Amino acid sequence: MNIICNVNGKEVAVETRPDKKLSAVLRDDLNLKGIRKGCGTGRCGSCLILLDDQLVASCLVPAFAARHKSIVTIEGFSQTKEFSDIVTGFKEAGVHLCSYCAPARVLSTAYMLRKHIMPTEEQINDIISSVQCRCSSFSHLKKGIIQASIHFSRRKDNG
Amino acid sequence: MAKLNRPPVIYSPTTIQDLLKIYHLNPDALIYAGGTGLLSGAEGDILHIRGSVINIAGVEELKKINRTDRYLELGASVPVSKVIDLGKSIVPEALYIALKQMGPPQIRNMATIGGNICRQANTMDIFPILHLHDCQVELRRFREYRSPRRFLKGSGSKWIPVSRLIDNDGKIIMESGEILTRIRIPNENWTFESYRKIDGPGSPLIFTALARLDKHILTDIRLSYSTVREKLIRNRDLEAEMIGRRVPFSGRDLTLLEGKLEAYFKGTGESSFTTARASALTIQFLEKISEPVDEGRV
Repeated sequence: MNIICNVNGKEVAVETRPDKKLSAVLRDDLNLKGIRKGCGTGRCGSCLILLDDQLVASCLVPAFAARHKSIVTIEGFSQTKEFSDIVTGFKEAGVHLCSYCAPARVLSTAYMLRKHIMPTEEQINDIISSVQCRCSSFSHLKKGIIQASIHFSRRKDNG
Repeated sequence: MAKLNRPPVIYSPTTIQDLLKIYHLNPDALIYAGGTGLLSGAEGDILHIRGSVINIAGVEELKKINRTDRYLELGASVPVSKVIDLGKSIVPEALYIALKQMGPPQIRNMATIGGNICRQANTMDIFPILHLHDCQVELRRFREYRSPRRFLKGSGSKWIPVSRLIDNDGKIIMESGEILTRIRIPNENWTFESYRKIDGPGSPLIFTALARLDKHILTDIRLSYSTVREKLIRNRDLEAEMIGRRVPFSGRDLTLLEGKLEAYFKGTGESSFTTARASALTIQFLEKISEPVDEGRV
């Protein structure tokens, strides 16, 4: 099956089985290694992507469901200003992420900040739960997300 | 290396009429909406889906949310996260809590309301809530145009109470080629709503309760218990016994009710653990509604 979709802003056509997991298509066929292999049940969060601006676990998406959709992975997101807002916020709060969860953590934070530019504690706790890696402490992550939201909103205010 | 079977045939309808026609012609096809149930058990990179799949994600009509004075109507493909975004003031509180507990954001963005109801394998998290709220579901199927004299639309539609969606064994009763398209939740004010899901040995227990108070008189109460084995346990006699009583309940009343509930549960064949948890959750709820607070939601 020929899957045509927009990956990180570029139109891409991939010839693959329709029932292949999108995480495998992105990693193996498109060489986007920022998507990690994890639990395969969508709960660990290591394969998170933005599919039509929605945070989804790519291991739960079959290739056919990605047809004509827009996909953003960490490789594409790292070219944006939002990425630097989040990374700066995390650095200021002393968040040190392992290379396994860092892409998913950044993407999930971006997803939340796009929805709620000044998130509540409940919303922050909720988004932290999207990635189950425990390489960084909960309190540091919270502070990091708050710092990121400050940078995020400041940049939005400045246009 | 495992031998790969033939890749599935994928249908991607964009209208309800196309969907019903395709499903009518392929009644054994898998319906793909959010995919959380279909894919979560898969091992390896290939899902090995046999036969055909109908991807309903492109049917916009199934993603609609409609609100009137009388009810809230959700399309079957509305993602769980969208319903949560409506907020507690619009969504019944028990349903809101259940949806929030359904998993991390990435799962809630994918899982759909209709999918949760139609899946056989799970405990049907939201089914007891919809049942207690007297919700209705719309089932549609392809209907051929036979007589030029009779005015028939392209699809046959019927609304049924959600309670009629499962049989006594907890299996979904839907005819071949029939699809759940909408869920209608009546706008009703309940003074108290509770939803608790407790994992236990072997099987989780879901406790759902609604209560309505009027000047400290319990005017309506609905209690349900769900396990994997028994999709819905509801003792209407016990509910009827409680209606009309003044709250707070006395300690003696609570002990009597506890005893009756335990006796009832023993008859259902549930484990002693489940019986004890169900009984404790019910008493907890009755104590909560007995607390001298404003008659507002908890």
